[in-house]
Amino acid sequence: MVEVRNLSLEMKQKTLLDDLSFTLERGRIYALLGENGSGKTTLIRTLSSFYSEYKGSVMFDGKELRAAGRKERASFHAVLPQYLPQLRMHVSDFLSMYPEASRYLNALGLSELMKEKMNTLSGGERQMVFLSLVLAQDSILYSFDEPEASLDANYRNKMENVIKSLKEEGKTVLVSLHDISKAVEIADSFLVLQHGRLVFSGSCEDFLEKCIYKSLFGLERGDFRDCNGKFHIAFF
Amino acid sequence: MDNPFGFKHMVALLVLVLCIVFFSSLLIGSTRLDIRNILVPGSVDSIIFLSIRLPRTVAAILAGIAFSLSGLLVQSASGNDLASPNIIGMNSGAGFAVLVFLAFFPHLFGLLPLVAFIGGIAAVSLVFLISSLVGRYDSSGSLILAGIAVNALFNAFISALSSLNPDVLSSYSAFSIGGFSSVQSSQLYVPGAVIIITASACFFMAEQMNILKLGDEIASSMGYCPRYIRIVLVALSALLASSAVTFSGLLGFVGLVTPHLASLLSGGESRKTMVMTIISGPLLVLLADLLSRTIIMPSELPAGVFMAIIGVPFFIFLLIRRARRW
Repeated sequence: MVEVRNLSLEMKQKTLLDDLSFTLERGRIYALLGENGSGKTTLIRTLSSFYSEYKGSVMFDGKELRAAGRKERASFHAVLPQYLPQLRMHVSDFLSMYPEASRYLNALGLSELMKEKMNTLSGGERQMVFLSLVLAQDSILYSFDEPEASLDANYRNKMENVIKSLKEEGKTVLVSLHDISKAVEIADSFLVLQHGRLVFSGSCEDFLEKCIYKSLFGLERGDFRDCNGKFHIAFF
Repeated sequence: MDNPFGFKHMVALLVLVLCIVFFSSLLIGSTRLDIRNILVPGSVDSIIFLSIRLPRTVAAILAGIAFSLSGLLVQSASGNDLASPNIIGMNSGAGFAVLVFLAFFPHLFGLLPLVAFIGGIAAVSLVFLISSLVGRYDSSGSLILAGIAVNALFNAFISALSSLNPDVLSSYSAFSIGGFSSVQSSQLYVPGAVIIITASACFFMAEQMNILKLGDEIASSMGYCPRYIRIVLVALSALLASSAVTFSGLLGFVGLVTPHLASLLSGGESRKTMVMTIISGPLLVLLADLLSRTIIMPSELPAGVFMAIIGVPFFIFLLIRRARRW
């Protein structure tokens, strides 16, 4: 369980996160929504010690993030960032630095990527290689920062399967998304940020029933069934 | 991995070549030495061997290790493959500090590595400060431009000092381009010990260098503090380069060329790249030194001339490749 109490972050006299308090339970997927610049990436970074100058408290299973040692911090939070570094090396050499990761790449059905060079991979392939590294970290919380931005349908399915399987393993998953329909499809609960403040925290049902999508994003809801009879919710 | 031999075979091959070049460097020069005469105490060959060839060869090896490893560390810390101790002003900062110290405190010779370190770290701190004010530290443009500015400043100081006080530096041009023609064994004890200890300590940073490759967000989530890793890497880098500057002068480009060559041969993993760097750095410097004193025998050119002849085209190649990639 992750407990965040009165979390604030200021940098260069600008408030990036403003008094956030929320709890993330085990075995649930949380969608992190908000416009560009609302603080989604900053929140994920703060929960991973990237920004250490925060005020308030961040507890992972009752242990304070700030007081934890290196190995403990690694067991708290694994992050797949939106922007990944370009590397000039073979995937096999890259993953040899983190031996557990190649097992996860095989589990994703992408062992053929081992022969490729990192800088010749497509954006989606590179994301999958880094995903295998993140999965090898074995943490309490897994955060994915706009994970589907550069993925085609095939890799999007793989990513969603990974997120669902982490939930089944009892992990906590935080996914930053722009696509509200996708958030409704995969998430159990929602956190909505606006200018660094938490303006909604609640279940997916609450988000829909209280028409939060309308009050916060100005969107209308449309329900439909696809040609296979599967029910979908769209926002426009 | 790009090379077909595998890492261990490549290491063995390079060590073999290094041994050949090492013995050639000991025996070849304006006077050809006979191994049997070297072993006779007091013979001319023995004196040349012990007082000229051996210190010179050891100096080239130490400088090769120091500058190339320093380049690898600073490239890893900045995430910028165009960085090197020469380009980001570390060498000229250390060189200036050495000259100032020699001008005013020539009797405190043993403190030279410390003074050089202070000069080197001051210069590189200035470069990182300017670079962070105009852009990110890993932005190639701002780091390199800040390095050029700081380099120009310290080189101007060096020129001014050598003009005002010609006794300080009998051969300013040789110092500024780097070389080993006047190296004495007494100059090598303290810097040599610092280089060997620091180079050994660098292997403990290999894991952290691997982590930095993942970017700061993933590195932080793995519990590491990228900022502290960078500070340690830059400090180690400055210690290596500045120690070497005290006896080799401002030998350029070896710190730029070798890490790329080593990375190409090792596949990019930091510990393997370090091993390759520590072998190929001395190899390149020994070769440059050997060429410098054999190509126009009995005269000689500074080793830095040949390092520049190898290094400059490589630097241009990197710039072109980088431009094409983006």
